[in-house]
Amino acid sequence: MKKYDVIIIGAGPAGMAAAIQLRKDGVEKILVVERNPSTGGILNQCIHPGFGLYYYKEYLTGPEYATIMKDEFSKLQIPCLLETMVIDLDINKRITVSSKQHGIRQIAAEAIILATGCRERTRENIQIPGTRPAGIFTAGQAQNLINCRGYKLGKRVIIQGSGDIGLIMARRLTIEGYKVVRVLERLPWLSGLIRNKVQCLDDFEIPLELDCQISKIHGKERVTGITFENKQTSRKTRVQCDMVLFSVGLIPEIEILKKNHIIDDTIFSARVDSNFQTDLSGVFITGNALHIHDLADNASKEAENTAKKVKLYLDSPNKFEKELTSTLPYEIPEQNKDYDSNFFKKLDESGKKICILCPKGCLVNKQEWGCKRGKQFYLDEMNKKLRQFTTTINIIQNGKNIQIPVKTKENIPISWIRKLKAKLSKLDKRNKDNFTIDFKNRKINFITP
Amino acid sequence: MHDIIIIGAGVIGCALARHLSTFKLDVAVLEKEFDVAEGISKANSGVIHAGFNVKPGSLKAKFNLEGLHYFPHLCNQLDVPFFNCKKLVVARKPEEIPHLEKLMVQGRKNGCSGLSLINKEEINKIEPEVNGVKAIYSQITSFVPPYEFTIALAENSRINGVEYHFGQEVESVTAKESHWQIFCSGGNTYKSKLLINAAGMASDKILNLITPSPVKIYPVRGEYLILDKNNNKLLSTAIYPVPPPDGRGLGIHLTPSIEGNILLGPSAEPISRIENTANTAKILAKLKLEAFKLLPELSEIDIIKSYAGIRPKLFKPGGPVNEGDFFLKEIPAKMFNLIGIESPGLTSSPALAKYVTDTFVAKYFKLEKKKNFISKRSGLKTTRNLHPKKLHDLWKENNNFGEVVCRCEQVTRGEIIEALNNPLGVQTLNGIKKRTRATMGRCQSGFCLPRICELMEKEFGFAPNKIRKNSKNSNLLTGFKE
Repeated sequence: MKKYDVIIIGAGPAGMAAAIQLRKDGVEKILVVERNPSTGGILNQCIHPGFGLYYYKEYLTGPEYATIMKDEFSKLQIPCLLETMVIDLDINKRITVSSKQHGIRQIAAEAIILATGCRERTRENIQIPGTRPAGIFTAGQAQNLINCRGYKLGKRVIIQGSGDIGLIMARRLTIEGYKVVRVLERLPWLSGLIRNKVQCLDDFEIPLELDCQISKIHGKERVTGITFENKQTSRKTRVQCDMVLFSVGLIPEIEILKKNHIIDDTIFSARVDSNFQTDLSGVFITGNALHIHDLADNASKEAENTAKKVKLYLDSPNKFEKELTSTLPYEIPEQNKDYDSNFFKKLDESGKKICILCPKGCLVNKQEWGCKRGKQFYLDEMNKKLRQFTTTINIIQNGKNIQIPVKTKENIPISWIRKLKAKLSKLDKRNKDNFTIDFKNRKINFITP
Repeated sequence: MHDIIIIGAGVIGCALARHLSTFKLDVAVLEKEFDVAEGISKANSGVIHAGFNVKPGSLKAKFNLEGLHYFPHLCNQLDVPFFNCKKLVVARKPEEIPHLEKLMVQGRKNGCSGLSLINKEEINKIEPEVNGVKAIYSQITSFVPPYEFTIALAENSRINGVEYHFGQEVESVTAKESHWQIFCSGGNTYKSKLLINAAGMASDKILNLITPSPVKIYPVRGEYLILDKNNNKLLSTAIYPVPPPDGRGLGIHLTPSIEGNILLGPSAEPISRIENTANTAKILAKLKLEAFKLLPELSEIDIIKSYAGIRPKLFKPGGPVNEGDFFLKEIPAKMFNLIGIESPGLTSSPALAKYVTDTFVAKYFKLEKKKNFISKRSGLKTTRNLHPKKLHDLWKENNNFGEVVCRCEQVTRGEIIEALNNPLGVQTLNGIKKRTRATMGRCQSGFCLPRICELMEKEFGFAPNKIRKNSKNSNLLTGFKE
């Protein structure tokens, strides 16, 4: 049986950051195991911009963030088993992996880092009544079907949940030609980042209804509509749609630890000590598998810190023990309850804008702004709303149709987006190179990661 | 021209098809859905009953007691899991004890074996988490996954020559001099000498096409919750309350499945439309409350699925109870009807198949055994419980068994391909689910659905807009231009 110093399960923003940090710290025998055909994890389906501002000090899309990490990976020659699933992890820190290419193997390690991310809470977890027809998706599932595989899921959509994925998908679906009828939020306040409400809903005039939850799904074979209830007024409204998206929270994916009772069966998220270590010495958890982060950047940062602890665990167990405290190695961010209906009403009256240049979402006008860029943003916004446009295009590579993400190099007016999208869908391209499109007597430059 | 046409591919229709396929007969099954076990047979508790809940002298009692003895052997032949989970009917309060005693008497009259009345200490020895003052302990009560059992019956009968026609909703039936002519939606016509009506919820409707049915089905809906596998250590026995006196059902019970999930339900609500399998807020809340009461350690994400099934009751809700017995009659001549086959229908199915063959089919045909009858069926390979060495050997034969597609239930590409190549030719997402468990786990297809779609597209040539959940208009990816 092959033995490594560290095995990292999962090559998403956390797993890759942990591997890179370990290698930089001089750990030789590292192995990363990833179930997908390429590294990057969920970043690959997040084709929208907004990544990397903290971690790379750059404004990147998900695939671009993944590409930077991938390049670093190859530079540092970190071995990674792709299309490989970990099907068992035992108490002796041996993993069993399964892949089409190599079959079933057992591999051991001194330390194991679980960077397995999370899964989506489903309609079933929150017990939404009604029928069970085709056309019900979770937001991330729909994101994968559309962005990675080019599928077209339906036409008229209701989204339950105003978390970031729900908001991002509202915009994405609109760009793809779907009609997003409404986004519903069970709580009295917005769940996701305020800048995502601005650039995903407001930009496309998609209504958000707070205090509302679907009370019934209709349709026997395919969804035909939903009824939602306003919790304040108890008013019920029926809406026609052929698709429902659920974006109602994420659950750390740690089932592999439950299999051999490394952690308690019934636990929702795993208990770790101040060094990110589980109850089993040498098994660590980081990233969304530990707790849900609102930004990939933060998951990467946390994984870096975890890697440093793992390095210490390998080099000087005594020092590692000494560092142990009773405090959690992370803070659970408090729920932001600011963005309720009152806030939006006041915002309308004040004439202020929400700056979308960073996740902070400062309120800006001529006199007040969070930073200088915020002031510029306000002036631009009053003049012409400009946005970066991201989508996917279909190219033929080695005889196969594949979806690749693209973005505009410069920001463009929102009103151009739909027309540009139509032009792109007719594009016949055979490679991944950057390209230019003539539009309204201008040249629009597109970048591929 | 077929010798026999069976309308309905539920557990009754398929048990009949399988039994008839042992004889030299030309049998066809017409089913309105796109797979077997799409109605009552897919949404029930899967319990093989010992027979103490049914009225002595009734047809239910007769076929229950007879039917249950076929199961161990039949499941072995057909490669279907059979789990002797045993059962406790628990009295929570002293005033419920007389009801238990009545059930014991009824059980003895029916000739049940393996029943005992046990006290609190004995209950807790069997199930430490369960609270009760007294209970009936039934040692022969078992669990069989009902749709897997139905699929196995159908597949084995298919191998032995029975034809299955899916998407065939019977619209009218004409009696010709020597045969029946059956017209289906979509324009297909079938002919047969005998007709068997095993149409489940629609069986009274089918009989009405020919002659006024003497019985009417009153649908009673039962909603269920399914709990994640992690909770299996909490329970290993089926736990029932003392049955409520309204005769609508056996009360909300907990059934541990073979795979470790726990089924919780069903409720019993009279409804007006037979196809109304929607879940309701009221019942879901009630079931959830019940689940937390019984298993306080549960968390919300342990509830991974809800569903509802419909019972075909033959008595009016609110009317006199326990008057609904199976309706088994040849009317008119050459047509046999099985109507109102509710619980214990699954348990009764093998005995009913034999009964209909012996009393009805034998009247018109000389029953000659097929010499080349294949009695054994092998189910699909499963990888999730295989030892790594065995799994590796399987991978050497076919490397598709190395690629995990569904992570929650650990289902490989090899298993999904085998399922799509099933002998019945069923190629729907629910068909894959019922055969492999892919999409059935805690993430409810969040992770594997895109992979399965791609597999269907690339390996089986499906146009994306032709990928269906189950029925004709249940297309998953409808945004494509036709």
